[in-house]
Amino acid sequence: MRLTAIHIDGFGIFHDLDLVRLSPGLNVFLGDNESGKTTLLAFIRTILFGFPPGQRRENLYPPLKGGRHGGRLTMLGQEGEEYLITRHQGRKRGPVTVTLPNANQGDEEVLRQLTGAATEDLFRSVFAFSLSELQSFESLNSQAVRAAIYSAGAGVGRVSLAKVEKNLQDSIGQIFKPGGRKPVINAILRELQEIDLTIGQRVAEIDRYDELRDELDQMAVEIEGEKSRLDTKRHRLERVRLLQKGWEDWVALCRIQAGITDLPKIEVFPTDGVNRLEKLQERNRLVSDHKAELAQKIEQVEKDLDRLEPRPQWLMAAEQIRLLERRLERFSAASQELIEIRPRLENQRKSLENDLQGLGPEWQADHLDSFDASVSAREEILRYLEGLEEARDGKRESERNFVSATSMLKQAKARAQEAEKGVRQISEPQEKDPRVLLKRRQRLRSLRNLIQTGGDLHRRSEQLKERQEDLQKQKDGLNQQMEGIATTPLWPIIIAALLSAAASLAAGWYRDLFTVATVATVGLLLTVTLLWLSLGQRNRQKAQKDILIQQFFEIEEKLDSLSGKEGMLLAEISANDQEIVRSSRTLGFRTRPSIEEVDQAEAEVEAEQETLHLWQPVQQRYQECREETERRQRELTESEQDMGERQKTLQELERQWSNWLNQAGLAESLTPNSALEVMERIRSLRQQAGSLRELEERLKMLERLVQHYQEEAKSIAQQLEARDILTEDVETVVHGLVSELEKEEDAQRRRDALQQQMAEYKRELEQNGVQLQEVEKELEVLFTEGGASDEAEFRQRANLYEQLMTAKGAFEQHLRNLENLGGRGEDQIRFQEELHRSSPERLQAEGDELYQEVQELEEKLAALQEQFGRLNERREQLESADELSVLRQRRKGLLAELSETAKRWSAITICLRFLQEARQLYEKERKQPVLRESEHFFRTITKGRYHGIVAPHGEENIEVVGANGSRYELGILSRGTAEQLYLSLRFGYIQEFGRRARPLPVVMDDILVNFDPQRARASISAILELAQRNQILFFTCHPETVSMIKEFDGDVPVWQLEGGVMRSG
Amino acid sequence: MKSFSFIHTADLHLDSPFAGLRQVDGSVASLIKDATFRAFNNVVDLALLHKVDFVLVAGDVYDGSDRSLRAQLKFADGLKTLAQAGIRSFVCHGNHDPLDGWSASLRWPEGVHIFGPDLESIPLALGGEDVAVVHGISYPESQIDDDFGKGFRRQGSQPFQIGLFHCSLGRDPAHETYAPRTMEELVSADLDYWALGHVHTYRVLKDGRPFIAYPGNTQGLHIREPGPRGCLVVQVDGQGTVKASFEPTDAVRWLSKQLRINDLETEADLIEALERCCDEIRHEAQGRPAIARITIVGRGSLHTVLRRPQVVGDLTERLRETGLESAPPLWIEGIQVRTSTPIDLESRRKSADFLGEVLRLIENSRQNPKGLQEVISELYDDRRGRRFLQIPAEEELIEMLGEVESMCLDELGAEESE
Repeated sequence: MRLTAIHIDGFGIFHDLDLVRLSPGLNVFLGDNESGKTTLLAFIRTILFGFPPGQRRENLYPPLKGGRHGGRLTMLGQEGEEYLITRHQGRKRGPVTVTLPNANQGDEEVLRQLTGAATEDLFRSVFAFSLSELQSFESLNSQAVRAAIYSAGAGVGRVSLAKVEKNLQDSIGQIFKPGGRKPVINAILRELQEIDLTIGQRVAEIDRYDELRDELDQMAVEIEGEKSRLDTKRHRLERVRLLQKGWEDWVALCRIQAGITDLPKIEVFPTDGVNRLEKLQERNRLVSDHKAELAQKIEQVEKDLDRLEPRPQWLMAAEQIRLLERRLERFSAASQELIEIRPRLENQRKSLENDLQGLGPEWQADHLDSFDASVSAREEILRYLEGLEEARDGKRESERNFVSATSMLKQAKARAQEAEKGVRQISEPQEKDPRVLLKRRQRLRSLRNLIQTGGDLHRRSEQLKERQEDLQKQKDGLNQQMEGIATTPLWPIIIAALLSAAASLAAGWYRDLFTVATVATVGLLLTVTLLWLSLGQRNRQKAQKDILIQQFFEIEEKLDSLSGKEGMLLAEISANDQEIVRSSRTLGFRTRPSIEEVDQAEAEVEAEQETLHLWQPVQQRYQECREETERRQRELTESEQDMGERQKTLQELERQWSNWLNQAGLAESLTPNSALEVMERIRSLRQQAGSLRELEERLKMLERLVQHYQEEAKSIAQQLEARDILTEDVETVVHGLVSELEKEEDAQRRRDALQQQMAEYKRELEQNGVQLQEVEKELEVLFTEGGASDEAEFRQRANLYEQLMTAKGAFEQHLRNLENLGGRGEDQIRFQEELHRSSPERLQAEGDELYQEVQELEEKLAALQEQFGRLNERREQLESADELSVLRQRRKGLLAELSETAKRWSAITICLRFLQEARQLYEKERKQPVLRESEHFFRTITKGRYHGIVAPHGEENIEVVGANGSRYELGILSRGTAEQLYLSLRFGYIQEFGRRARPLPVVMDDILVNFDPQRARASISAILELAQRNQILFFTCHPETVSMIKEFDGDVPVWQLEGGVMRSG
Repeated sequence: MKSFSFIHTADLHLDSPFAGLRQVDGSVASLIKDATFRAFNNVVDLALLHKVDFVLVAGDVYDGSDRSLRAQLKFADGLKTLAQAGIRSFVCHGNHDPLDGWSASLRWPEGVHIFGPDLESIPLALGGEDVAVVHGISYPESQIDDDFGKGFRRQGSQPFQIGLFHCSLGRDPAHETYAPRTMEELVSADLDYWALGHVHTYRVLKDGRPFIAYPGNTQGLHIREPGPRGCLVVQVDGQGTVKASFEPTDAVRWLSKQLRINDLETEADLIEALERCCDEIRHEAQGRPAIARITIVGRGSLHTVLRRPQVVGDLTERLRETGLESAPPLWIEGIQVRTSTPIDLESRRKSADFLGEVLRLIENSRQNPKGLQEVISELYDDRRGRRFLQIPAEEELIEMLGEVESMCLDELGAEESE
């Protein structure tokens, strides 16, 4: 990782500061004191690791010149990918945002991944250090730093090994500490011990359980004994107390018994006798009084009855009078209606008469009924109406038709004359049938064709003949050729053979064997050659001849075919000629015509056709006009006839209508429509007459009703001899009748009521007599029961009896008291005997003594029972106690917890042990390369003065080896050399860390101040070497240091810091 | 022969504490305290319900060393209830409650027979008919010879003969061996029914003649005794044919469940799965309170979450809260995390980095665990520690190395390799 740009929003003296294009290697920052070098270092550390936590008293570098507290670092990764790390002060250590190359945003977690395993401590002591850190070896050699360096990139990831170890150590301590009290296991062990102690105690108590039970059993027996004694004493004491209580009753009892003996003996007497006697006497009196009262009442009723005289005829006429009363209303209504109806009737009668006059002078009301106004009559009128109208319409129509036909005929005649003129202007053609002309023309055309075909056939016949001749010639040629091809003869060969044989013989003749042989050979060869040639020639000739023969036959075939065709052609020609002759005759040619003649004839026919074409329409028009004139003439005649018929029909209908009117008794002048109106009027009058008749009947009915009612009322009044109410006014009569009747009915009701009451009184009187007898009987019985003959004796005996009863009651009371104390029967006898034998004084003395004894016994028993209760309670406690169960359960639980916790402790302890072992191994393994790297830098810086750095086994410290091989401890090194050693060690660590994790930028703050110029130069060389792998920001306030660096590498960028402002040097 | 029925029970372990419960809520504590008693009461209730003719108790009624008076009295009460209902009881003592152990001098009700140190045969008549004989023997002391109780033989004319004995069958590594018997020995005694005790898990060893069974204990006492616990209700018909049915009596049921995390992604998934797990437990508890352990296994991304401190504690707390609210209550004894890291340990071990170094050291130790005991001796050799703790054996330590390995991975922030 390296920085490419820094942006400070606000941090210490910096505000809105931008540092861009930082070099990947060494960057030098030159600035005076307080120019902001340390602030810049702190800024980088803060952005990477966060603001110092609240509790740490550290310079927070508040933004003195404004801006938001914080800023941004732009860093490049190994592959050149860019990360933006932005942090501002806020919650905890200030929230950070990491913008990843893919533009995603990450948080603190992502940042830790970017900085590898570097912790803030590591960064502070190894990567970003000032002179003060450089001078302390401890900060460098601390375990935390070592662990961080060695665990960097070691798969330990983001955690610090030292922290892990510390956490584990803490966990172990929290679980168990030898001799501790608070750790979990220590607490469990302590509780277990306590529980065991308690369990021991409880078990010891349970061991006593049997003993306790025996003790309880013995005690129970003892308690029972004491209880029994106490019971006896208590019993006797109770008896004595009872005897004491009974003493007075017993004395009284004895006294009463003596008193009873003196009284006379009355065994029985009616219970409550005197009272009963008095009650009976009282009842007797009441019944007698009631009797007198009843007699008086009966007398009064009889008097009342006598006063009421009945009129039975009124009651008998009650129904008639009630009926009259009910009909009275109807009667009144009828009278009223009569008064109204009479004038109305008169009016209607007059009105009807007037209306009848309107129909005709002789029309009377009875005519109305005889007139036929039925639906069928009405229908008939309608039929006449329609028939007459129809006949008149028909007559008018036929008249119109006649006029129109006359005019049409006139027009048609004019047109016919015109057409006749046209016909006369055109000459009449010979042939008037166009079909005849057409047929003739067709025949002429086919004749022309036939003549033409004849010519063609003659030409083809000639061509055929030429072809035949041609083929005949070829045939002859072939014959000649065939004759020309003679077979090559064999004779030359034979001659040659003979010649060669002769030559050889000739040579042999000359004894020249060689010549003989040669000649013979040559001759033989010649002969063979000739033979071969002539054979070949012969073969070729034969083939040639075969071809010619072939051709010859082919020509022959063709000739045959041609002669066949010729025959057919001739036949065709002859048929054609015949047809021409026949056709010519039909067409009227005397000789065989030429084509021109035929054409001439066709032209003539064509001219005829044209003439016919002109003449035909004119002729047709003329014909049509003539036909129309005839038709019109016929139509005129027909319409004339029709007109006459219609006139007749109308007259007939009018005659029938007059007849009908006559029959109906109506004026003949009436039209059907007027007749319909008259009919309607008659109908309405008929209704009027009907209603008049009804009214007359109603009047009669009402008159009858009124008269009848009046007669009836008067008749009833006379019957009842009610002269005082018999007046002319019927209503008064009826009301009088009703009033009298009501009076009579009321009197009747009162009579009935009095009679009923009388019966009631008489019944009561009867009952009263019976009651009186009963009372007297009861009195008699009472006296008999009381053993007395009269009231006085009864009362005396009653007195005596009461005295006796009182004494007996007292006796019973005392006895009951004694029985309550001493029981009944035998017990009572014993009780009284005991009383008889005793005296109050003796009883008192015995009671006191017993009471004392009982008190003592009770106290003893209570003490025993209390003791028993205590022991029993203890026993019950032991029996029901679940404390042991609870303790044992708790013990088991604790053991389980102990076992689990111990296992956890063991696991953590073992885990820690492994981590420690691994770390030691790892450190040992890693230490040597670090020391070697450091040695290299140390040698460079000290210009070879020191050769090596060693870490003695098992020691934390290191020693340096001089050029002569002698070892020096750190303590004896000069300050400068020590600083150079620490610088070298840091470089070694940085190299080692870079190998294991992402290399981080290194920040050095004026570290060369204690170095002599030579070593300073050497150091710069070492720094430049380091800068090849790690980016370095080198801060200094010494311009000469910058010059020195520039001597090594003039391209090293230098930035000048001045009061919080940066400029590139 | 008259048909009859009886109950065969054993290992009541009355008033024995539940093991392994590190902490319990108050309401659960009272449930636990009475669980063994309630289980025994359930046996008594079953006897009354089925109107059995007698009850056989095959040893280990209580733990003599506990000196629980309560246990003995409650046992006597139960037998009294049975006696009042006319049900006889036959009791033999086992290794936990031998005759020489402490016991209160109790008065046993009529109809109870406690077997002595010598083999006895008690005839049993039902309705005037001799139907059975119970042969039995009690442990005179907790340590007995292997030959103890070797005289069981068919005797007398009773058609049905029962052997009541507390013993091991063969040598079972899960239980301490007492009076070991072989199947052949039991069969050759020519009895009809062997009512055995000692093994805590219900087991029918032979169905037929003789019928040999362990009914198991009446109440599970720790997480290694999960599932239904109870007794046998035995029906014997006129032909002497045995029909035994197991009836659960446990008042509190121990249950153990495994939960795989392989398919789970988020903590919410995990919580949901745990809640489902609890539902299953409740179902299996069949309407009684339950104590359950959930072991989370498998390999997955949740491994890391579960290793975070407090996560398991919080989850346990959460499940306990809901468990206590439910009726009947469910107590989560603990959530054990046995998940494997998704990290490929084999390849990490080979890497040259620090973690590789640590893992190699652990692996070496696994191969050669000597010295591990030394590392943790500080606790186990402690004056008080050694009274209650036993240093883990090497095998246990090797097992522990898995945990150590996970711890190292967590502490060193190792992440799943690509």
